[in-house]
Amino acid sequence: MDPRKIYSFIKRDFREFISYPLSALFTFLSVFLTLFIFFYLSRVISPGSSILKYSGDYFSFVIIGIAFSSAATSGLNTIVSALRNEEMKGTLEILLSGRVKTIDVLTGLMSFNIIFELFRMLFILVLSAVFFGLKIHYDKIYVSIIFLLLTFFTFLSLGIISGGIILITKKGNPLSFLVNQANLLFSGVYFPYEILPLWLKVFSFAFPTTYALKAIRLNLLQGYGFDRLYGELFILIGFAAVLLPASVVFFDQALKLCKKWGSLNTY
Amino acid sequence: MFRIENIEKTYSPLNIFEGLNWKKTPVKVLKKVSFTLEKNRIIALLGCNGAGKTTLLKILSGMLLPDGGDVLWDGKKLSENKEYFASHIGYIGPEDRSFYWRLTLYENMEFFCGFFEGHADREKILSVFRTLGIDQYRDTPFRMLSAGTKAKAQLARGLLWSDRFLILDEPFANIDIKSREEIKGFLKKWISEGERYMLITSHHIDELEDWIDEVFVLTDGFIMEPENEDVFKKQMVRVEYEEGDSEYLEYADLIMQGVKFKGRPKKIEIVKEGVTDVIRRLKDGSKKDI
Repeated sequence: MDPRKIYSFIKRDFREFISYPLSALFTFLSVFLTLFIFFYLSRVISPGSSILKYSGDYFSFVIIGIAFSSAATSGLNTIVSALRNEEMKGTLEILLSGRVKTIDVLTGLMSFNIIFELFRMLFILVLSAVFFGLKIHYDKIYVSIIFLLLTFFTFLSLGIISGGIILITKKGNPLSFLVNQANLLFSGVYFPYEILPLWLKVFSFAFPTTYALKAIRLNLLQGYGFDRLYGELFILIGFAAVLLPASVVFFDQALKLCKKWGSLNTY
Repeated sequence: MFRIENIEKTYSPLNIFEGLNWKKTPVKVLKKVSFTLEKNRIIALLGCNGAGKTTLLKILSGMLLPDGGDVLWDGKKLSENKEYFASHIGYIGPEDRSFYWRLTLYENMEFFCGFFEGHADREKILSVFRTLGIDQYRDTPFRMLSAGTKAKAQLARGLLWSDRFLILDEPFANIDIKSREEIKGFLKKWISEGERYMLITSHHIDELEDWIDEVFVLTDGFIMEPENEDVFKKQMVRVEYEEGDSEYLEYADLIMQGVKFKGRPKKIEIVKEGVTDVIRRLKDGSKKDI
């Protein structure tokens, strides 16, 4: 992977981002609004025992869920929207002409958005800590970063598979829809997955974010280290190790099919 | 030597994800197309709309995969060395949609050079801009450029990408006569330096004559070469007029140059009758005799 090529993408996307100043402004304003909504919502929700396991209050629980799940799953949504954008602009055919390795194109396409999502996550955490009294354990924060990275790579793999699907279908990606919607329901972003009935809880175990959010919350809110979170760690390593290479192979095959059909510049 | 050998391409309607339409039939665009490009020569590929010119150029540039055949260059096959071909061929397409309209002209070039080469040489970019006379627009957003400047931007990108092989697909479509002559002069000089190749398409022979070195005509998926001549040489077009009379025209003449009909055509049909050596004469570069 050539970092100079990736940098070209980041620079391009940053320039496009600031060329829509109002959109950039509203992106950050929406963070404020989200924090206010959940801050006041947490005042009317009395934490049940399932939340107490992680933290004493609903606000800390849900803010960590929102901040980390959005960054962790950015790999899934970013690649799909980036490919779709390039299709609409008519630039995808040029980018995927074979002049540059596919993996470089994919990495380049998602780099800016990933940096943006990480920045957004930090922004949420800092604002929550400064204005809304969020208290987290900073001493073992590297544990959360490792969990975040592993979840990110798992979702990135799903994103690359979705990207392959979107190359072919153009619009309407079943994998992206299923993962995005089901992720919110099953993996405990807004409420602990433990409160789900057993027959629904089974689905929770299929989502990497279930393990990641559990581990990140226990790390940041209770100070847990790897010694107490190794089960979640190995599960996430397993997800990433299987899905990442499989996704690259899948995308290459989808690209080959599109070049055969001549459908790369259509939308 | 750059040899295109038996390239075949059929567009199949059987991609169910792009809409089911059982009435559609596969379109065979290229039928074993073969020809050779010699270095330091401007070679034109002519043909009417839908003849398969862009399909062939996109195959050479790595944007499309052929169904059969191969391309040989520098002792390498396209089928086995896609990255080599893609990185040594500068494709200049007819669509301005292949740029980022929110970015300026310079920012676009900086991205395309940085992405493909790993670095963007500012001086090189500005030098190409000056050569093409678009330097004054470097800080103008791409969406605000005129059609002619956008066409020159395509050319600039092709020149920045490759110094060995340029593929130009309808490059003069939106360019005024003065700029066209300047660009032609520049490209004539470019092709004469080092071991360089150039393939240009158009359906207007008028804008290319006196400038190109060789012509190939692509029609119905074939290259009209002497070895394929038996396929085409007997094709004539019979035009029946509403006034009652009729006349025979050469098929190649009709599709390549357009013909002024002497009345209002009632019926036009291709008939196998008569003999034409239009192909050979086109390759000799003498359109006037046709």
